[in-house]
Amino acid sequence: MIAYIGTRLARGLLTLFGVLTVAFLALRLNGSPAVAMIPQGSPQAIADLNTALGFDGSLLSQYARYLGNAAQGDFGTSFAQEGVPTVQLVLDRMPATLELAATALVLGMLAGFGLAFLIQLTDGRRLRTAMIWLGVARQATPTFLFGVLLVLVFSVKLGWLPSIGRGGVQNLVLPALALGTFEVTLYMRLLDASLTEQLQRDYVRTAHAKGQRRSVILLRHMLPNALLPTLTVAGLNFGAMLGGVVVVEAVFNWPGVGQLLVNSVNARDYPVVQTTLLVVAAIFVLVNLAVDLLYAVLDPRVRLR
Amino acid sequence: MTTDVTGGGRAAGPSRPADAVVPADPAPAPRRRRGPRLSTLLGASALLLTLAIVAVVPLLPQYDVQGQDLSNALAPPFRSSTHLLGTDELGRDTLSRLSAAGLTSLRIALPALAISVVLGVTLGLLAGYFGRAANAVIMGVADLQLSIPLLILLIMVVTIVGPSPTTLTVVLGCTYWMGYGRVARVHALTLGEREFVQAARTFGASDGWIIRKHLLPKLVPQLAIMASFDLGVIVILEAGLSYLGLGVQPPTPSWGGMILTGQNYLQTNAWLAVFPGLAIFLLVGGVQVLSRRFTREDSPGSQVQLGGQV
Amino acid sequence: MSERLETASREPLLEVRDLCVDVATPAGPVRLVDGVSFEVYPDEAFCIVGESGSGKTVTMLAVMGLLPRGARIARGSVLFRGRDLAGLSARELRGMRGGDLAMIFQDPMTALNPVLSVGAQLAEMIRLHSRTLDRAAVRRRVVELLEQVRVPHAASRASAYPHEFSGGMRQRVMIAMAMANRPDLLIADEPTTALDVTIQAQVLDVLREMREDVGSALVLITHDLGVVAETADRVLVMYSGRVMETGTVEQLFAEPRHPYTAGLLASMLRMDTATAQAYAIAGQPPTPADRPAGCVFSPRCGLAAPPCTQTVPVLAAPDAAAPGSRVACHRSDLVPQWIRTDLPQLAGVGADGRVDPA
Repeated sequence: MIAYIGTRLARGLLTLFGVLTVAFLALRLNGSPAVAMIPQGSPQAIADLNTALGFDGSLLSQYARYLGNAAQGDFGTSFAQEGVPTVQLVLDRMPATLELAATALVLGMLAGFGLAFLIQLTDGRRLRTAMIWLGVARQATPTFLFGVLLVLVFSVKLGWLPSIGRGGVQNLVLPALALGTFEVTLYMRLLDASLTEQLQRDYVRTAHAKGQRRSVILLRHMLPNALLPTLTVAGLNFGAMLGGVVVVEAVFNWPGVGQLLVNSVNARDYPVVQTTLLVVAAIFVLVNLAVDLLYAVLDPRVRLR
Repeated sequence: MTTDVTGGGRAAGPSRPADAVVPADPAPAPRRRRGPRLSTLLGASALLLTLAIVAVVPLLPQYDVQGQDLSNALAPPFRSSTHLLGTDELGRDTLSRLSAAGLTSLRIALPALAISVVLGVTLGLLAGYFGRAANAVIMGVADLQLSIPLLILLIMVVTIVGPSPTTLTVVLGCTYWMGYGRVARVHALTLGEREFVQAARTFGASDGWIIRKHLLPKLVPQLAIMASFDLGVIVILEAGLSYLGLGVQPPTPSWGGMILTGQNYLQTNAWLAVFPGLAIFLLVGGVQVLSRRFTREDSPGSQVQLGGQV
Repeated sequence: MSERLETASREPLLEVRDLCVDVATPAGPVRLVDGVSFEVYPDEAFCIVGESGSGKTVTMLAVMGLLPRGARIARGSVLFRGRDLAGLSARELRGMRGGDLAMIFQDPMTALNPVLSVGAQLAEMIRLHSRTLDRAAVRRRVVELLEQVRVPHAASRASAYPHEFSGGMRQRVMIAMAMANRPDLLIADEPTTALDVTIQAQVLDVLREMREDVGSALVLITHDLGVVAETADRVLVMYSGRVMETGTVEQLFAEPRHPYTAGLLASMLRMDTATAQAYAIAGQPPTPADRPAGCVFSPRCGLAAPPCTQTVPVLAAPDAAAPGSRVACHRSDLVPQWIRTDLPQLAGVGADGRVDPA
């Protein structure tokens, strides 16, 4: 068990390190930003600005400095907003994004799992087919389009809900729906397929032979087994959802990290872009680590190794 | 009428008895069906409709992508024969722009898909067939790429290189290869260990011959199914980037861009956003439904598309 | 165990009459079990023997009401203590499973839920059929059962998980679970097939002990004649979904009346007789969809003659009958002679062609 956690942790750190390096290189690819910022400046001024921004010296020394700073939590300051640490900008926006992402994920997961359970319990072929079709339709619709359509129907035509910005619960509804509906379809199909696979297992037959009820077999025997493979996929999916967050924040003008990213790209504020990327990757790595740990908790075969 | 779009449902109840003689056939006996399934028809129709718009509209006399007519801005659809789908905020013909945008999307998505497949299969075969070191390196890169959400990775790359259709194509191609890589690698791994491959080697068969004759025939159908599905995903990714202003740049029309501007006019003329949205839906939906129709994959993992949400 | 042969004076515990089980295939329903009839008496060990695909498992799944989706009882009746199981509601049948009727299966590695402790799964079985026991009592019963099947350190092992047990121990746990509610009938589907030979004896021992303690009848499904010889009181020989022969184990081993039974016995490798050549019945069983006309064994039968390919033989008592034995063969009276001439492998001690069971 310790070894299990240890390897997962090590792998996570390695990935983070890799992302750090990639982010570093990515920014350097564009050459020095000083030229872009003061194109009319004298060579001396440009060189000075480069030094100030940390773009002087050999690539290797820049890298070393970069890593050193990173270890201390210093990820540079924003170009667009003079002197403001990028980390602060990102963290300021975190709560908004987390609010949106967490709501969508939790609701999506619960609804999706609930539907899958219902389908298995009632053995509802029709329901399953309907859900699959809905899932196909939703997957063929880009999330941003779905968001715009939601705005069209519920905000413009019906006037029930606001279309822009963050505020009370009513502001959260449409963005969470836009993001969450995709999750629902995903988790529903995921758990349904996993449960169907479990039906073929021998222990299910044993449970029936004991005279146990179908609903209890589903809940107590099959669900724990079916959730395990679902977890791994859920971890991977989380990263995919983060992409959706960016787009939903754009649609609804939601003041989160995604919007910060897009604005920074447009403003060529590279340090902020870089830090955002790092934060997102770090979150993703952490989530997958958490999934691995959860796996260990739930599966006795892993726990007791 | 069964609409077995993903085949998620199978026998419920206790598992098969040990000595039941019902053949466990990997290729089940063909069902007696009167004609194609509903899903195939719908998928094919949707796809054909979109392709028709892209291919046929430019041939019509009223085809005009850039011509503005501010006096006729935001005209509603289905009223005039010159502007079948109405006009946008600058009086430009929506139908023409819709068609041109579709062409742009396909021009980016199809080559990107090709790049993904070729890159993925090559790397996957290298990783699976040619030993541990190659495997470790390639899979390491794949893992690294997978650890960054795709859209965000794309945004980052576009930040550096700037958005142009060519860069978009290349970027999309280079970020989407992992799925194909994984499949190719698995095939290569299992194939290399098969006895008939070892036997073939003993009488001098070259690796190239083995790959061509034994690996590709099994690999290609699976790739085809994945690729057709992924075409939809890549189109959505490109549309998303365009919506964020990081993809196809105006004045070149793109579906994502049209939705972006259309969003400002939901009150006055919602069609501006709806039509491009419908186009995306039909193209992607058509392609994905058709691909699912032919897929045999039912494992939970295969339900997750690499691109996730956009 | 031969004292229990006065079958006529006792009521059968389980009566299967003309049972037919169909499974749905794209090409139409296929009959897996075709007109099987037998009785099982209280307290006895009844073995159903046959090759893979003979329908022996499907028959007992039908009895338990555990047929997989797509399979159904097309005809016939299953009477347990006189009640027709087919007429029961799903809930009533469920109430009997695990209580009056219990079943264990072939592969102990997969038959237990990997994420629940062994004790929890045993406890579930106990609680399903007795509402009155409190937690402590259930816990005691679990430990008691584990001790009965000779699991060492039963008290601590109860909270262990299935993957921590060996195959033989897992099967013994399954036996304990099945016997937990003292069922009248235990059905064991190839309980030792997936186990090493050395472990088989242990498991069969435990099985016998538990049976004697509880007093339940046993229906043992197997393809291993050695197991039959050791365990059975009476035997049912099945082939391709039909009954070929039935009788006491002594009768069957000493004087098989069906060519198929004789063939099975001859192909059993033995240490106590000198055989020049191993015997195997030539050919393969037919697929259920393609049964030949007449006797289903006729294509492979050394005694086949015109009536065999035309009419299906009826299960009936042979001419020189021992009580309780029945055979489905048009030419059963010719079998002893055929054995003497054609099956030297069955020639053992004694010039009259009789071979004693091990």
